[in-house]
Amino acid sequence: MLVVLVAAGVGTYASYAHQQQASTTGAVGISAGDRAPDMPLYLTNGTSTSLSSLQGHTVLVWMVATWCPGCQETAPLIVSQYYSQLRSAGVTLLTVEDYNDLGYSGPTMTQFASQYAGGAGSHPGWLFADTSQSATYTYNPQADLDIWYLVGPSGQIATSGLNLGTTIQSAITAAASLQAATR
Amino acid sequence: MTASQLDRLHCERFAVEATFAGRAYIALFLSLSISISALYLFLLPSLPLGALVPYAIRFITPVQAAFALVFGVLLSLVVTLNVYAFRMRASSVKGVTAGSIIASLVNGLCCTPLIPSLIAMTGASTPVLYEISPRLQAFFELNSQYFYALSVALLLISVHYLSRSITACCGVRKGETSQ
Repeated sequence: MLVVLVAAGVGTYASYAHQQQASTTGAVGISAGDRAPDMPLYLTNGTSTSLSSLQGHTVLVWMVATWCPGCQETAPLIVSQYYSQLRSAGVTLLTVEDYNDLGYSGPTMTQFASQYAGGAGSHPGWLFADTSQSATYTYNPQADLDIWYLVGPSGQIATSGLNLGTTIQSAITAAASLQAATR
Repeated sequence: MTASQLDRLHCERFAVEATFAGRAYIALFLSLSISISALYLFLLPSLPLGALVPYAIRFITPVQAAFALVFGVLLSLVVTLNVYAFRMRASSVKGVTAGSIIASLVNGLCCTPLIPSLIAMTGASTPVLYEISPRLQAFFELNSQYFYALSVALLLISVHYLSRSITACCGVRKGETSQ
């Protein structure tokens, strides 16, 4: 019983510390205030681009493993509850599959978009893409399944977090602040 | 069915009948069943999101819904029998029940930062994290139904041990009252 309690305590502390680190310093992988490293993007429409091509826009980079149930639950939540708020805050939502789905087989990004977000292209300003291994390592050094960064129009990381489904409101708030600051 | 199996069945039946002879125990069992089942109906689909979020109930799977109901009833039965056993000074069962609760929550190990954080605390490098963490998380997610089955099995074992304990403790009293 004691072992169980200690294990639960250590796990809870580790998780809490990780979440706190992410929310206070933006240090999921890259710190808030840092310039967002460029990231190759292989879009589901077959074209290639990069994160730097979106400079001038506020971009919510959401890195997912497509087999992760939390990500699969979050996408329809965005469609039903948060998409219009994100767009009102001037956010371009960029859902990026971690390289090779973190080594575990899941739906392709096209299938993910189709099954959980009404299809790629059905929501203007919501892009779906794959990326490279080095970009995945840079943005997601701890192999989290569900992490995000808010990149401002200047290309700087404004904030970041884990589990977008439960932290999206902070991203929307930060995006609205960025929008107000640029007016 | 062998004689010993029949004896065991009678043992559990006697323990449950003895416990539910009191209205307070029935009330405790019913209130706990409803509360725990309702909590799990919300909790199980919420766990991959990393927090208890009521709207996640729309994502509950049939297996999770069935498990939430069975788990709620069985855990309530175990708690009620434990209370009865305690009052009758029979020995209670705790460790097995704790194990069943942990097994019931394994899908929380997927998608949340728990596993990556624990591995990172060991000082593992990014390639090592990439090798271990997603596989572990996928394992717990893809096999969650087996952990649910394990959880139910542990609760049934708890019920069995509690019944034996209550029957052993109260057998004399039963004999006295039946005379």
